[in-house]
Formats: sequence, C-alpha cells, structure tokens
Amino acid sequence: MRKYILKRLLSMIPAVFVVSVVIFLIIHLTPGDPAAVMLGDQADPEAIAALREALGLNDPLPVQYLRWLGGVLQGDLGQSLYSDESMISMLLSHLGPTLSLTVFALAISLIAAVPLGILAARKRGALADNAISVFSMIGISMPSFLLGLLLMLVFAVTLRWLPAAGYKTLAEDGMAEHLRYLVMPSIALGFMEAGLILRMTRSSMLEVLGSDYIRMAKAKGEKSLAITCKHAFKNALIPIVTTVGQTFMGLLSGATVVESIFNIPGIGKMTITAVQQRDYEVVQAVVLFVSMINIVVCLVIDLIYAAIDPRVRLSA
Amino acid sequence: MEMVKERPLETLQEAGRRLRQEQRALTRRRFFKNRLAVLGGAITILMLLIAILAPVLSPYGPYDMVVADRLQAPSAAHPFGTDSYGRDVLTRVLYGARVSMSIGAAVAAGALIVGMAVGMLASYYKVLDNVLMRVCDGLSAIPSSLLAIAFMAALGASEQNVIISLVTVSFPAVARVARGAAMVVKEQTYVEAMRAAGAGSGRILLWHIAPNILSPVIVQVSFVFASSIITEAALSFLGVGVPVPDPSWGNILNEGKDVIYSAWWMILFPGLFTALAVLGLNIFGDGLRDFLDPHTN
Amino acid sequence: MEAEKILEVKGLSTSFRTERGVMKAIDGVSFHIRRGEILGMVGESGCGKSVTSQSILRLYDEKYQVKYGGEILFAGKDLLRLPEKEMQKVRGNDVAMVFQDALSSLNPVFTVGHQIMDTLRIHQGMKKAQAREKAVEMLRLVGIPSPEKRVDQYPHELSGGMRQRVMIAIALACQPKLLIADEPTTALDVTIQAQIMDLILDLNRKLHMGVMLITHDLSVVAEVCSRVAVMYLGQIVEEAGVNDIFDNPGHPYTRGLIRSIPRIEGEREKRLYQIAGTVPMLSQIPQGCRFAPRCPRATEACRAQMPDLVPVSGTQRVRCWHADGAPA
Repeated sequence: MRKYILKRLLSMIPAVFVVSVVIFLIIHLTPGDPAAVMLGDQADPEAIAALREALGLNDPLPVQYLRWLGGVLQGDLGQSLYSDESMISMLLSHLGPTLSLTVFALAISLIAAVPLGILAARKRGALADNAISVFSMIGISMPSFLLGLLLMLVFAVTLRWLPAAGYKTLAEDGMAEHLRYLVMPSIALGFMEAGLILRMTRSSMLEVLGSDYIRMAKAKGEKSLAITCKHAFKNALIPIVTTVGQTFMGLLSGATVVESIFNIPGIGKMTITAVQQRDYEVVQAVVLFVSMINIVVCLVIDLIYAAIDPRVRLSA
Repeated sequence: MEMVKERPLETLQEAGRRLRQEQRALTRRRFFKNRLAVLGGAITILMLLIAILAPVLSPYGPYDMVVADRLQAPSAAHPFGTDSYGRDVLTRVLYGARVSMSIGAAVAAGALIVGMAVGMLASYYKVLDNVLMRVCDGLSAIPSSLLAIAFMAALGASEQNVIISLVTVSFPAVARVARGAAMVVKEQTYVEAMRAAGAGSGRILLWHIAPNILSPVIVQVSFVFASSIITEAALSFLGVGVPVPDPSWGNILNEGKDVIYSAWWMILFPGLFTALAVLGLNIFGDGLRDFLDPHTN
Repeated sequence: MEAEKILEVKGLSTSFRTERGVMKAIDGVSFHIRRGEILGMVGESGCGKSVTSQSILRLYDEKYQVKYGGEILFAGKDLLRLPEKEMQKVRGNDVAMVFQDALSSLNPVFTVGHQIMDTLRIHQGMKKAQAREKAVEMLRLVGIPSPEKRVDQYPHELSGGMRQRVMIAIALACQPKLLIADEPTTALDVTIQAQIMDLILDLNRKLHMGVMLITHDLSVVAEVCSRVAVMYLGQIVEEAGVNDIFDNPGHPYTRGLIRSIPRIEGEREKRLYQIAGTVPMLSQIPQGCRFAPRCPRATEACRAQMPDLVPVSGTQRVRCWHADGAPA
C-alpha cells in the first residue's frame, strides 16, 4: 500500500505541471495586452507601459512563467488589484462556504443515488427500474443554475418557505440557519451528480450481479440481501468511487454558478467578481487553487479505490 | 440475482400464460428503449429545426423593444410573455435556440476534430502519447466551467470565444475515447498487414483507423454537444458568454433572475428549452451507445 | 446391497425466457446418485450438463430467467417445491458446488479465508475465530501448503490450481452429502488437472459423499466414475455403469464420443474421429430423435418420432430406436 501511495504521488507531478502551464498561458497568451485590458479602454499609454513593466510583461514568457511558479511555490499567488489582503487569506476566507456547499451537495446526491441505483439493478426491467432510469436521465440533463432558479421560484418566491439567497455561517448562526440557506443551493448543485452516480451504481450493480462469484455466493447458501449488500456491493463500489471522484470535480465546477445565483460568498463568487473586475491575478490564483484541491481529491479517491480493491493495491 | 418466495404450484396453462406475459413485458422493454432513442433524436432534430427556422417562426424581431409592454405575463400576443425591455420572450427563446444550438454544434464538431487528431496521434506515436495524454490529464484536472470562465475572462465575451474555450475544455475526453479505440484497431491484423505492405502512417491513420473508431467517438461527441449547451448557458448566465443583447438561453435566464419575483415566465420558458435540448441529446447519445454496443447496460 | 439414493432427479425440465421466446434447455432429465458414488455426466458443450447441475441448486433467477419442471428429490424433499429460505439451507450445506473458472467464481475483494468462513458462518453459525481455524484446516485438507499464510491472501495472489483447491475447500467446508463439480479441471494445466481429480476422488472416499462430475473428458470419466450419464441437447441419451459405457455403448452419440478420444496404445486411426456436424441451437431442436441429423444410422423412423430412454440390459438405459440391435 505504501508503494502504491508513493507511485500515485509521483504520478501527480506531470498533471500539476501541466495545470500550472495552462493556467499561466491562459492569462499570458491572450490576444491583446493584459495591462491594457486591466486598466480599461480609456487608460493612457504611459500608465499601461508602467503596469507592463511592473507586471514583468516585457520579459520572455518562460522567464515570466518561472518567476510566477517560483512565487507560487513560496506561497505568493499574486495580488488582487482591489484588495490589500494576501491572496492566500482571500482564498481561505472564501473556501468555507464553497466547502459546505459541495459537501452537502455530495452527501445529498450519494444518499439519494446509491440506494436508488441498487434498487433499480435488483428490479431490472420492472416499473421501478424504468421510473428510476427516467429520473436519472432528467437529473443529468438539468443544469444546476436552471434547477436553482426553478427551486428559488417555487420555494422562495411562491411558497416563501426558504430564503431566496444569502449565506449564514455554521459558526455564527448555528446548524439550522446554515442548512436553511444551503438546502436549495445544495440540491441544485447535487442533482446532476446524483443522476450520474445513480446510473453508474445501477450499471455496475447489474454487471456484478451477473458475475460468476455472485452465482458462487448463491451456491454457498447466502441470503439474497447478503448477496446484494456484501458480495455485490463491495465490488460495485469500485466504479462508483471513481464516479464520485468525477462528481466532486463537477461539484467544484458547478459551485461557481450556484454560488452566484444564491449569492453565497464562496470561491466561485470570488472568481466571477474577479472576472467582472478584470482582476486577472485573482482569476489565475483561484483556478490554480481549485485545480489543486481537485487533484488532491482525486488522489484521495484513488487511495480509497485501492483500499477497496486488493488487485489495485497489490499490483503496484 | 433475484430470489422470490415460492409460489403455489401452477397449472401448465397458468405457467404458460405467465411466461407469455413476461415475454411481452420483455419485448415491451426493448421497444421502449429504442423508442426513447428515437424520441431523443426527434427532440434534437426539432431543436435544430427551431434554430434554423427561428426567423420564420418568431412573431417579432429579437431586438424589438416595446417599453410600454415590459414584463407582461404570457398572453395571446406574447405566449411566453415579455422581458424588462418589452421584448417578446418567445422570439428571444427561439433565437436563443439558434445561438445555443449553433454553439453546441460547433463545439461538438471542434472537439470531434481536435479530439480525434490528438487521440489518433497519441495512439500511433509512443513519444507523442505521453506528452499529449499528460496535457489532456492536466486540462481535465481543472474544473471545466472554471477553465472556461478563465478563458472567457482572458479572451473577452463573444460567441467565437465561447466556442474556442468550450472546445479546449471538452476535447480531452474525446481524445481519450479516440485513443483507446485506436489502440485496439491498431493491433488488428489488417492494420499490421497494411503496415507490412508499406502503407504510409498518414494513410493508415486517416483511411483505416479513423473510420473504425468513429462510433465510440460519435457517442462521446453527442455528450459533448449536450454538455456544451449547459456550459454555454452557464457562461452566458454569468455574463461571460454570449454578450447581450444577442439572445442565448443563458443570458435570458440571467435577465430573468433579476426579475424573478415578478416574471416567472422569463425563467420557466428558456429553462424548459435548455433542459429539453440537453435531455434530447443525452437520450439520443444513450440510445446510440446501446445500439452500437449492446453489451453496456 | 447398494447404498441409498441421495439424489433422485425425475423428469427435470428447465426453460429459459429469452428475447426470442422460451427455450427449453433441459427436457425430461431423470437420474440418481447414491451415497459415495461418482456419477459422470458427459456430452459436448451446449448439451445442458451445466444447466442440469445449476438447476439442482436452483441457481437461476426464478423471477426473470427460468421456469423449472419435474422433481428433484434430495433426502426425501423435492428441492423444486422448497421455499427459498429452506433452499438456502441446502445450498452450500447439503449440496455444494465447484465451478469451472475459479478466478471468476471467487470474489476478488475478499480473502480466500473469508470466503471459506462465509459458508461456515452461514450454515454452522460459527464465530469468527472458530471459522478461521476451520478455514485453515480446510485449506490444509485440500493440500494447500502453509495454509496459515494463504488464508489471508486474495484469489488473484494464488495460482490457478490453488484457486481451484480453494473452491473445493469452500464446497467441502460443511461436509455436504452431495458435491456437484462442473468441469472442475477444464481451466487447468494437465498436471494440475490430475492432482485436482485425485483430490476429489480422495475426498469422495474419505467423506463418503456423492459426487456429480460434469465433464466433456471421457478419459477422466473412465478413471474415476462408477456410472455415466450421456447428455445430448437437453436429454439423457444413455445411462450405464462405466464398464458398459466403454465396452458396449448403446447410443450412436456415445459411440461417437468414445471414438473421438485420442488413443495412445493400440492401433491408431489415421485421423481422429469426429462426430459429424455440431450441436444445434435450442431454437432449432429437430423433430423425432434429436441426434438423428448427425447420426450415421438414422432412418425415417428416427426422424419421425423421439425414442424413449429404455433399459437394454441390467442398469444400462439407451434412448435410441436401434439400441437393441447389434452395435454398428
């Protein structure tokens, strides 16, 4: 297992490198002068030249990249044009709401999707299976911002059961308030992922249930429930765990939009504000930060994967 | 494997009747599945027709403002109501189909070409394989909408830039499918034989490998089409996609969000169209995959 | 005096629901197995040997897949009439099964010890520590070296022969009265095959259980079985003591199978004998005698009406219109 972890850590390096290059290039290889774009249409040429110099934009690209990467490695992610706060502390202060939102969304989608997927596989072809399939199809076709708006329309505007937007912290306002504000955003965000997890659970359960070792378990005299829950589920879990990894990425992606609909002061909201203000270093820092979180989550998922499947763990 | 409580013994006729019933249920299910795929294709074609025929179908012009008629609820004159500038929402939703569907189709085509090229090259040349696939890994390690947003921030909001950034976001998945399929085809005897007969690499890739990996790639591309419609709508919703006043489903929804307390129709109708277009493509892609590979599911 | 019959199958039929209609894979199969006896069941692939064996344990999904008919009498009870709960007590406990492909039949995410312990805990209500001890003992019984170490390993860490031994250990853990072995050696190397067969033979003597050995390898049958049933297209076409089968085969199909065994001694035929044609699909079962289209002796009568399985001498029963005539 230790060997596997080491191998997996080493394999992260190229991905991290590519991510850093891509993020750097997005901002620096764009048509037009970033300095001019930052200062807006009416800026005078001297100010632009000064900013170019200050940002080091006159150096060759590789030099700029290495300087930026050096800074990043020392914890210097750049500086916002509109705030004196350090980038790290800006990111960390926006991380809490995003984390709450994604964790709730993931929890909701797992709780809904896994049992339904198992049920659908056990009742394959029956009415329940068809109904669940239709439900998951609608799930994966429903963009989070659309579901968010529809939920808002029904539960906040029409029924007035829930607040339309905003955010209450767990620490200051308590769990009940925290959840009351997060319930719609979490459902909006988690719905599509639930659809994906549901389909994966169903198809991997179906595959496992048709396998020789399930027949063997039956021949050993296992009860139907034990076959599904023990012999089949642990095997079916392997592809499901992979899907959950992709799901997390989808959640981080979708959080941007959902936060902006529900006015939640998370990382996504921070990105959109930075984009609107043309605060490029913030955009760059956020994308890098979120991508790193994502890479770490993928690593954790792979380790869980290895913990479940001895073939992965021992073949390393 | 399902286990059931023992039934009381059946007579032969009863058993026969039950078997026939279950047989019918099985046939029904197959038909149901095929019908779903046909339905998905039909929805997609309908959406494309709406996009093409928007100027003919629309009762008004997409930019016609009648300030006196602003925020009108649906009526005979305005079946989907009007927006805060007094523009006809039905007209804007139909023209929005034009924008959203054409962006989706362009992204699908772009991702198909780039993804096929990258995937096939990676499968064929060992040296390129590592480089190209690591780049794809890196690109897919960045959450897609964030990457697209960063691109749009750098490039500026325009339809063309939306297409460029969405192709960048979605080609790695296509490349991975293309590479996997090409790896299999490459090992097949007839390709080996071609190579032994001295056929050039370009010729082999283009005329012998490409056509044989098309079906799994097309399935993936149909999902790219669907997800591009979602991401385009999300970008436009956030104000970094298709710039106003051009109508797209995303920016109509964005305008609708500001008036959510007074004009539900500005959310519901563009929302329904978006969901329907995506649903159609997803069902179609699913059906296509089942059709091409009966083993899945 | 002969030992008691532990299994008696009477007119068993197994029909599958497929997308193209109901297929009768097994049609009126009857045979029995006595305590301590090894019955060989032979035939080409697709003849219904495996379906017969899995029907005895009712392993097919009865809700969607299959419909059984006839009787399967085990220890005086008809297994086909048993409620599922009672059936679970039979499976793995009274009647155990060894499958062909050990790698796919063992659960990849549990240790082999765990998989042996499962059976013990289900049927004998053993506690974990006790079951583990017994699992080690079973591994030793089936001839796995250093069982204390192997017990904690996963199936993919063992060799093919060892995995098959583990399967046998799982099957024998509760000392079943009947062991069904479905091509237990087909996936293995020749030397390992012999070891596994020796093991089954040895355990059969030691534990005095009945064994139903499914195989397409007649030389194995000749070595270990006391009686043989030959299956063709879902029916038993001949059943006899092992000596009768080899010395005096009654059915043309049996004769074909025997003639296609490669011989080491004696006069060698120039080419290995082949039975003409292939086993037809279940959807294309011929009229009359099912073997007629491939049979060198088929006549109009054969093609018109299906013969019954009739006794020809002592314990030998044959399903052929020409059975009483001289062998061809």
